[in-house]
Parts: sequence; C-alpha cells; structure tokens
Amino acid sequence: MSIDRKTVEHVAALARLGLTGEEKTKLEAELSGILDHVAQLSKLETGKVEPLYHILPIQNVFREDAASPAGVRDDVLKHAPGARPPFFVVPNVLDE
Amino acid sequence: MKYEPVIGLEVHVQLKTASKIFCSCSTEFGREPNLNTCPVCMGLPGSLPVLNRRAVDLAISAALALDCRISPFFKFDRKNYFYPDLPKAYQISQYDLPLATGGRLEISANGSSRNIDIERIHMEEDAGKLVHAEPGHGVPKGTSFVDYNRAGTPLIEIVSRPDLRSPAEAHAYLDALKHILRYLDVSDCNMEEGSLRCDANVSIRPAGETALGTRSELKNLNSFKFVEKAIEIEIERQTEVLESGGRVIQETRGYDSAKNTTHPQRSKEQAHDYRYFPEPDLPGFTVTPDQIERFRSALPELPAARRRRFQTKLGLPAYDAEVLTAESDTADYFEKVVGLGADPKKTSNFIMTELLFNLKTAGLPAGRSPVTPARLAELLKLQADGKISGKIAKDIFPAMFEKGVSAQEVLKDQKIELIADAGSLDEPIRQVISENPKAIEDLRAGKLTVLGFLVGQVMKKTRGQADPKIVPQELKKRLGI
Repeated sequence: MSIDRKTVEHVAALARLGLTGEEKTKLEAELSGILDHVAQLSKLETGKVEPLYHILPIQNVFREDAASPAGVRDDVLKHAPGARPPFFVVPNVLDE
Repeated sequence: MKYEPVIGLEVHVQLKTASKIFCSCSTEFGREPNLNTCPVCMGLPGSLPVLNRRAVDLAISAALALDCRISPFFKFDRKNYFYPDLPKAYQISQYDLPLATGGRLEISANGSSRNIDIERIHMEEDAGKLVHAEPGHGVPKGTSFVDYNRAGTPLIEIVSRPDLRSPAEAHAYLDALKHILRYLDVSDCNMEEGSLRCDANVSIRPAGETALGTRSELKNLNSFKFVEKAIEIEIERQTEVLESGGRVIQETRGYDSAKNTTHPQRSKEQAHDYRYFPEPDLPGFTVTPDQIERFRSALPELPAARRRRFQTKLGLPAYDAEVLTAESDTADYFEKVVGLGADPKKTSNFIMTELLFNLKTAGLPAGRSPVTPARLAELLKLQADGKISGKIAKDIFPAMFEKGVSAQEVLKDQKIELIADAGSLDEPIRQVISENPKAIEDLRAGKLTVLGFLVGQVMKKTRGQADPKIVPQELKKRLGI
C-alpha cells in the first residue's frame, strides 16, 4: 500500500504541520511502510479472537460527582501564549 | 416535481451534574470566565480524565426512557481537530461503541402521534466558548476571547434517524425530547444557557423516492422556533436549487434568524476527517443486565403514560392531562391533592387556573408552592362541603399563596363568614350528644356553662369548619331547649 503526496499533504494539514518538500518525500515512504506493516497484520485470522479495546486489564473506573475548585486559572493564564485575564486570547477564528 | 423533506436531528443535552465529565470542576453556569477549569479540562500535560459516575447514570436513564438498548460494553474515543475552543485539540467522545443504540421517541404533531427512531446516544465532553470581536464587547479586532468554563461539561448526543418529514415534526420531536429529559431531571434543557443544542440534517428527494438526497447540516439554531424556521427555509432553498437544475452540495450552513436565511459556514474541519481513535487514558466500561434492570425500574412514570393514566383512571379531559403532565412537579402536586380526597376535575381546574398562574408569576415550580397540596386539598374540601363558595375559594387563594397560610387563617383574617349550613352539622351534633350523656344531663338541668364544652366538641368533629355561631343554636334546637 502506498501513500501519495496528496495524502501526506492532507494529513499534514489536519495535524497543522508545515512540511518541506524533502520531508514530504520522506514521509511518503515512511507512512507507506507503516501501512504495509499493518496490511501484513490484517492478513492474520482474527475471527475467533476477542477484540481488545484496552491494553490495561481494568474497567469501570469512576469518580463521584463532587465539584471542587482547582484554583489554577490565573497561573494558566499567565503561561498562555495570549491572555487578557480572565480570558485567553487567540487569533480571530471568524473569517468575516 | 413534488419533493419530500428528510430531516434528522442531532441534539446535544447537558447532563445535570455538579461537576464536569472527566474532572472535578464545577458545571455552574454564569461563573467568571475560566474559573471552572483545572489541568484536566485545560488539557495540561500529565493530567488524566476520570469518568463521572453520575453522568453515566443520567445518560443511562435518558437512554432507557428513549427505549434504547444499553451497550453492555462502551468506550470513549478521541475526535481530533484543531480549534481554539478545544484545549486538548481533541474531544473525548464515543465513536464505534456508544453508550446506547436504537431507541424511539413518540411525538405528536398535527393532531396525530407517531414514533421517531433514535439511532444512537453517546456521551462526550463539551468544548469551550469563543467570544468574538464585536463592537462594544471589548474584544480587539482580529482576536477572539476564549472561556473554557464549559469545556468538559458532560453531554449526551441524541441522534435521530432521518425519520422526520416536516419542520413541524422536528419541533414536536424537540418538545417531546425536552419533556422527557426534564421529567427525568436528567437535564434542564435550557437553550439560552446552552444545556440543549440542536443541529438539523436536511435533504429533500422526489416524493416516493427511497434513496436519500444530499443533505446540508444546519447549525446555529438557538430556539425550537428557529429550528423549525431554518428547516423550512432550507427546504425551500434546496427545492429551488433542484428545480433550477442545480445540485445540492453537502455542507454546513448557519441560520441567520434576523434575515431568516441559511448561509454556507466554514466548518471546523473542512474534511470530515476527525481521525477517531480509542481514548487510551480511559478504560472500557461495562453495564450488567442487572444494573440496567435497576435503572429501568427506577425510572419515573413517563409523561405519555402518566397523561394516559390521568385520562383513563382519573377521567380528566386530554387538555387537562396535557397541561398537568407538562412538568413532573405539577403532576406530582396534582396527584397529592387528589390523594387527599379532592375531586380530580375540580383539582385540575383549580391548578390550571389559579395555582399555575400564581406559580408562574412567582417563578416557582409546583414543588415549591407556598400553598402545599394539603392546603389546597383543604381549601377544595371547604368548597366541596359547601362551607365556602367557589368564588371565595378563588378570592382567598392569592392570600394563601402570598402568605403561605391555610384557608382557615385567611378566612379568619379577612373575617369571611363560613356558609351556615345547618344540615351538615346534623351528624357531628348527633355524635357529640350520644358521646356526652353527662354533659347533656347537666345542660338540660340548666348548667349553661357546659354548652361551651359541647360546642368545642362539635367544632373538633368538624375539624373547625363549622360556624361557631351556628353550632350552639343548632345544639339547643336538637336538644329542644
């Protein structure tokens, strides 16, 4: 299975990664390799194997519904790339 | 050509919990921006989500009330996209193993009722809120402000099958859904506060055709009325596109209520490519048949069933049953009054005309009415026994409501005389005479002070409802003195 350049660019855009032409070429080969490997695994007969949804042998971990303040807001705002307390500030997301 | 609309709704409902779905931050509405945040819902490194048990309990109750099948095993998945309202750059949601599948909801529109199939119900966390630059709002041009108080609020998304055939049916579906969820106390379903949100998938196809047309997804629908109007206008738009030989394209469209139009909206992720994968920070969850049965038996009687019972068992007209079951609080109140011996129809009339009006003015639910069911039952009994007229009952009710006192107290306060009804005193007087032979003997012997005692006994028998001025006269008359 091979990954073409368009797919690499699409995946990079979704991940917000800016890639150079050289990197794209490298990733084309690497991602294709990964898919080949998975394709190989896919050939295994798994019809009788119970699906594994989680690698840890635990289930049903809950917390009770009790509210308590964390009190971290001001510290987090201080370290944010952009803040106008009490808000975080980001570039305008509306293109109007 | 005649076209048929095909409508499906995706409704997000906030579950009524004290804390968020994966962390201990409060879900209280209207707090100072970003106050309800912590390392988990801010997506800080090293933090781990832990599922809120109550959120699951509420979601299961809602799913059962909507006739869904609860999955014996469910898990969470990451839905990945970049948007500033999403601190982790993914939303914890459910993809292939949701909490529940395959339910139905009974709606009534245009005088008939039918079932709408529900495809699935899954749990997820809400995103934060963006405050856009608008003149006078203090947000500088070119920027947006972010408030993460909502991020991590527990939601269920209820996805209907594309079974709805008209804008009015979509409205009826939302009404019915809200009704049930409020009844269960699973959610406030308050659109203004964002505890209920709705997206509509709309397509049209030639009438009689079974294949689905290309749909558009309508967003920004801020009220049930707007859902109806937006769908209406979108059906018109798609019809025009098809009739002029064009093609409907699959896209997200926003509704502008001021202009009553829909317009294309840039979606968060142009490609619907969310790269879902299992959430590694949360284990899987199981629900046993026993647990499901326990949830099922704990469900209250649902509005439709209660409405039918009010009509068949208590003989109420359909309209009354509808009004009384609109809120579970009101229906509970009604049943308590009737349980104390009041006539169902008279009680219903009084609740619909007097009580609900006063509650609405005071902004209170029936459960917090200053006039308790016992006091309303007492008032209605005074009226039923002919001690006060219907007009007096209505006249004194506002005072009972305002001061939180009994009918007797208001009557005394306003010096309203009870209707002298000698006939209804017969039985109590007869009893008092036969129970107090000694006192009667004394009275006959001329000891008039005993009269006060006997009057007191009669008053006691009539639970204070007899007119104390008439009782001595009647006593004397009966004794022939």
